[in-house]
Amino acid sequence: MNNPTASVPGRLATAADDADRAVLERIAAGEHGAIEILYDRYKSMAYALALRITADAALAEDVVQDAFIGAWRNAARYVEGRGSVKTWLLSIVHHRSIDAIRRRRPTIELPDAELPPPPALTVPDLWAEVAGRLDRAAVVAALATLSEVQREALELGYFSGLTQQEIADRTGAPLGTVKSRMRLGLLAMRRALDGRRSFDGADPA
Amino acid sequence: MSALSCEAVRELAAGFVLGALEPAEMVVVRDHLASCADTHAEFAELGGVVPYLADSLEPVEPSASLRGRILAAVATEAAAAAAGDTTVQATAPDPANTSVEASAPLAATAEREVNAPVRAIAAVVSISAERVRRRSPLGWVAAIAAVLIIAALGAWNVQLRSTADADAAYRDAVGHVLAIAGAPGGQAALLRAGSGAGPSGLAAVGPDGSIAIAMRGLAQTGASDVYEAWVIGADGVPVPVGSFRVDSAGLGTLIGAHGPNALGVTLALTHEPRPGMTSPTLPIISSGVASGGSQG
Repeated sequence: MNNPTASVPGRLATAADDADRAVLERIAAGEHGAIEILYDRYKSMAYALALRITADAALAEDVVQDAFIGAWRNAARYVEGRGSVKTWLLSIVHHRSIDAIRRRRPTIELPDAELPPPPALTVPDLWAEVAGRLDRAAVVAALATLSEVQREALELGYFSGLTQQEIADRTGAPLGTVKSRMRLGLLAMRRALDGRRSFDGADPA
Repeated sequence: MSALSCEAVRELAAGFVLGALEPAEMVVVRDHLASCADTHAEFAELGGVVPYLADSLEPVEPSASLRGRILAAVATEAAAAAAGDTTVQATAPDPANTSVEASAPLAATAEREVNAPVRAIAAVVSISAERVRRRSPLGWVAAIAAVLIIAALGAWNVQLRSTADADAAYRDAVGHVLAIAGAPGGQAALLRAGSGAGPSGLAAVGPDGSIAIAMRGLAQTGASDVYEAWVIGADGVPVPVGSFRVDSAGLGTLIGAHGPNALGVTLALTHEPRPGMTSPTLPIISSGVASGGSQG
């Protein structure tokens, strides 16, 4: 590891994160009913995300069902270094939501949260570990610090499942501009979130 | 080796973590990351931000029935896994494999040990598993029906030793239960005695309130006493939906009954001194919560 703090992933994890991981361990050990704990905790976030992407209540519920079953099935594959259980769960919901709306269009590959991620994404990112407990208002405020075009690029990519090329076609911006808007948008959001973290003594990775 | 330089891959990081690259680019970046000596920390740096986009949304409560659907579906897979390959999570993540593998030994058992009615049930299990394989949303209804039958066959040890008449009536009732449970909006319940051992069976509630029940292991009824079925909804008030008698084989069936059809109702059975009781005589002999179906 390049970063010395990165060798202790999870050290700053909250009690909620630890509890979530314990639930995953119980599921992986064969206690299948434990999935209801995660469901009760994250159903409204999962459904909100699926509904935002699919814009279809029935399809969104199918997606959430599919995602929780996927999480249950792959509990043993959860990779701790990639972030909290909540992050992992929501990335499964995101993946399956995009998958659902893209069935009407040519298949576009998306990183599947249930499959082993590329090594670069399993490098323990302490920032992701500790930033996971910001409330929604803080996240909305961080998003608001982005320029309109940066926010649009992120939303079209994340919530609408469009590729950079498709976003360029839709917005009329050059492809290179869309690429840099996405990158700068993510970095600006990270900086804005960074300023709002309130954990004790953590050193941003 | 990769077709892209590290620098080119860095420029694709934002698009990659958002899943917004063209398919070929996604593959090339993934291949590069799998083999590159560089840690490419920018992927974790940018990728760590992506989950927060979801956090910007206001939470929305899904319908109450979704919980039951998910738990029933998980129970389906778990039961299928237990009946087939206990290491299914590691070796066969596809639910199709799980269900099909699970049903096969049961079907084989049925072939070997029992008579025609059970073979018919086993065939239904296979069909249900096949529907699960297609992973259509409604496939889960079939999956629930399948697991109920799988659990039922396991619990009852595939021993149908009663009279031919009772078998026929029972088989008929199971057919009704499956038909109702498998229809769009249908719900199914596995009825069990509170203690675990004791009378158990299957029940289904249709979207129109139609109810079918098939029970085993009940004590024989006499001249006037009956078993009464109750549906208990969210208000907690038991509604009588029909009564039936039980012969020496211990098989009891109720078909063609109607009752409240709310999602997640509890079905319960009591032993009553006579038909037509309006409140149940405790204790509850056997009960279960209906689940499955899809939002209409």
